[in-house]
Amino acid sequence: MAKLTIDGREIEAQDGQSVLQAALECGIHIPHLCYHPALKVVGSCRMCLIEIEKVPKLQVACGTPVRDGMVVSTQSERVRKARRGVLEFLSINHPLDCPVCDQAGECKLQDYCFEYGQAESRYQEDKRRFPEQDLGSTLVRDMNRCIHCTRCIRFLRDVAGAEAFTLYERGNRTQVGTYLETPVETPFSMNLVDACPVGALTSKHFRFKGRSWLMEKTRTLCAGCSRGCNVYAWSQKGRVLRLTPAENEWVNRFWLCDYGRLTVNDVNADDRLGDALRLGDCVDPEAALDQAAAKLKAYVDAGAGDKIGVVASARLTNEDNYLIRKLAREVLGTRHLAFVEGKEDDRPFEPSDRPLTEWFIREDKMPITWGARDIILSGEPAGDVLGLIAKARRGELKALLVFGEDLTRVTGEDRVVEVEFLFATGTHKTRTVELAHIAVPEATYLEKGGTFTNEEGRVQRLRPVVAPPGRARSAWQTARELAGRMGAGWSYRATAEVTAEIAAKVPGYQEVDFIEMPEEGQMVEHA
Amino acid sequence: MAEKVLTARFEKLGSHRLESYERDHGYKALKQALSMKPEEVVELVKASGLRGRGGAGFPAGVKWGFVPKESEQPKYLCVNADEGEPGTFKDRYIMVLDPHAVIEGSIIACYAFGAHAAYIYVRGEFKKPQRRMESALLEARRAGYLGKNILGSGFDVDIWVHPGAGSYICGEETALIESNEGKRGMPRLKPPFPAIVGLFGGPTVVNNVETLAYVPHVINRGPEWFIGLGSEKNGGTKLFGVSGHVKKPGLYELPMGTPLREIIYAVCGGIRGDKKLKAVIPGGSSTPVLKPDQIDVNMDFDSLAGIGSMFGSGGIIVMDETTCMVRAAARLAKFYAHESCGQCTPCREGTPWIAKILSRIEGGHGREGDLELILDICDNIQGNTVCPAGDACAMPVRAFILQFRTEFEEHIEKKKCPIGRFPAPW
Repeated sequence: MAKLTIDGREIEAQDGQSVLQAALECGIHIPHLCYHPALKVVGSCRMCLIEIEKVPKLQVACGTPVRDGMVVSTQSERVRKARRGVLEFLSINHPLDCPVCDQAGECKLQDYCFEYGQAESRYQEDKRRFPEQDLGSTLVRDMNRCIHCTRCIRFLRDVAGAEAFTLYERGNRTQVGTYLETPVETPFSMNLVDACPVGALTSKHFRFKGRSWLMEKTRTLCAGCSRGCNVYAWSQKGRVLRLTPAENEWVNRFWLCDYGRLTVNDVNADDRLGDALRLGDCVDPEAALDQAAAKLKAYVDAGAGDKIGVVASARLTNEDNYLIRKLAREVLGTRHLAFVEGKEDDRPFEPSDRPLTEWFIREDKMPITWGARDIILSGEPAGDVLGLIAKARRGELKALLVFGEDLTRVTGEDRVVEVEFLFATGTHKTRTVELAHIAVPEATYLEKGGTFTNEEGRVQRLRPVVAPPGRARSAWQTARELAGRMGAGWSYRATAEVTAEIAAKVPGYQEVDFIEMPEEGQMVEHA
Repeated sequence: MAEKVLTARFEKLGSHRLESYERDHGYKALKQALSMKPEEVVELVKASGLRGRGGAGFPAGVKWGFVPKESEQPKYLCVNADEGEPGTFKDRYIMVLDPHAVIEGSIIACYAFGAHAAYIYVRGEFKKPQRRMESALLEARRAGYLGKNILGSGFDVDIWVHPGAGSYICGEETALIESNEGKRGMPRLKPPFPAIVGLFGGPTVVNNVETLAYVPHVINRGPEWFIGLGSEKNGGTKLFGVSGHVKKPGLYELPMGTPLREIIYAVCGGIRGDKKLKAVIPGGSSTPVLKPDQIDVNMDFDSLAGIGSMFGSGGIIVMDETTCMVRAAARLAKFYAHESCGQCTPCREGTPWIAKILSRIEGGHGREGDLELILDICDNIQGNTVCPAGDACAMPVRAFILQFRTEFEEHIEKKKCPIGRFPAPW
């Protein structure tokens, strides 16, 4: 432990911490550009210069270890002058094209210039111009905006394990980019957009789509794999425009893979299902549910409830699966319940300092394979989907309810299965939805609330970011509607009520608290 | 004439050969050092007060003393033979004419602080010095001065030449280490200092060629003799490379503390064409320029620091009355802008800015306020950079403006050079 004084405030810091880390932890903001908590310290931007008593020169806060009794000033006239100088140096060759820059509004250079910079430029010489360089399908490089902080290089080299970026030329002509314009081919390329504190690296997918201050930012989860990365979903006018990583030390640290980020394209796809379908024709979802419930009720009343197969999915939320299970077991009274799950991944899950390629992206492309096992199986033997379909093919099942899945992708065939009654919910106009006798629209992960249990057993909160298209709803709501129409008398109005019931009923989930859930999530024991 | 030490053998035929070196008692100091305890060698060099000849003047023995005795990582010696400072041309002569002195000094240094490997980082353009060092190393290895169990002492050491790739900044010790590791030559953030984490992560000492070439003499003849050559804090002789407008430019070995006036007028025969002296850069291009009324200064580390300049590397650049000071400053600034590694903001952005303004003034397009602007840019660079390269630009530029302000102002007012120089083509 070291005790030091920063701007007259006494703070405690751990030995080995830098002054910058210690200050940030105590809420004292020392401006910095090249420092990133997950990257090696280089101390090259010189923004975080501070004055230390009895040290003749100004020092960089990021590279100065704390010492007991240190007296630091971050606001002295000397520091402010140096800081103003650094900002001026960074601005003289900068194009100052904030009006057309994607980074505007979340640009550190812009913010610091606003706070510490000077209003008028003293630079009257020609500005430096760099050539363009194409970096592949995900990134746009504008070297003129670059401040040479090398965060991108350090991210690729030290975190992603891809030595793709480098510095070439030197001095004022130094460029950051790839050798011979090779495209950046790493599944983590878009993290460079976040790592870049200015607009030198921007995303091809998000380019010119929105202004950061007009978008709404919601903390939620990525559904791209079983890691359960924390993300911010940025939305405007009912559309999610981009996903960026939200920090979670135990799950994704500061990162998010390109695949996960681009799942947002599926949500915004043109073939989203907004209305109910009956044999391919649009109908009112309420009428569709009436008909489906009547049909199902007829089976149950005829004592053929057990001839109904129900397919849930590890793509849905815990709440969805819980009510699907409850519908199957308690309302329909069928034993034939299965769910589509993802692949096993035997690599260790925990975040590590190994390259991201070795641990980050999971083989299991379903967000809650483990949660589905906990909730649907609840200790009962596994029902597998292919077995269920085989049963249907043998004529042992009369009806099939498919929630949120395209069964043709499971079977690999174009046709699903011939049954008397096929009911499906779907986010998109999939083959299963087209083939269903009745299909109702389903909300995607960015359009509904609930919880995901990731591969490690961490329950985290999914938050609705935008409204689903048309009259799409969550699978749990569809299940509730069916059950209600069949006379079950369920009273769930909010996701939280379902979560509370999961906590009460599912073994290992007793601590799960939807409302009070901490940002890093809650661990549960897999049954 | 004062005693010659480093250059004593320079004019002998075949002075670079081992045979010749051994004939002049070469490697005697090594044998003596190997008979001492390593700490005793460090103490002896400390007692001599031998100061680093690369520019900063840090005592070599003290530097060796910083290296931890016990280290899990191997320790290294890097010999700084990058010699990139404009105006400096001393190390190249030592390497070409007396390479074994460098090797012997290096072996002694390795023994003193416990390194078993040394790299001589030779400037990329120095092809001849590289070859000379290579063949001298071969001779030394064959003779058993390098390798396993040298001279039966039980001490292992070997030395290799690492050619630089052509960058001024690689003369900065941490950039030299990076470059020696095969990386882009960019200075490292300190702490940690090289004595703790240096080459390949091991404790490392970086010493200048001239410093190491002096070590055998200090061992052979003792600290008192060394101090007696100069003064207490500035012992020994020093190689001065005098260039510019003197009658006899060249490399001279003179006692530390020789007055600058004596060097220019007595040693070098005065100003070319008996013109008037206008300015002197005393120790390589990064040291602040002196005016003619300041040349009575003694050429040693402390005297020059006393008048606001620096001793530097001993590269004296003499300029006569026909020299345009704006052009000289502009050329220097252009050099530093070109050689900035580009890592840290003030040096990367500030030095080209200064160069552009100076070039503009020289070209007759100066504006009122330009000088204040340059001085303020210098303030914003100096002391705020990762390595001393930023200071190396800011200090001389500031000195040129402050020392010759009227000439700069005339350039701006008259929109041309008052002494009639045409603008430089660059």
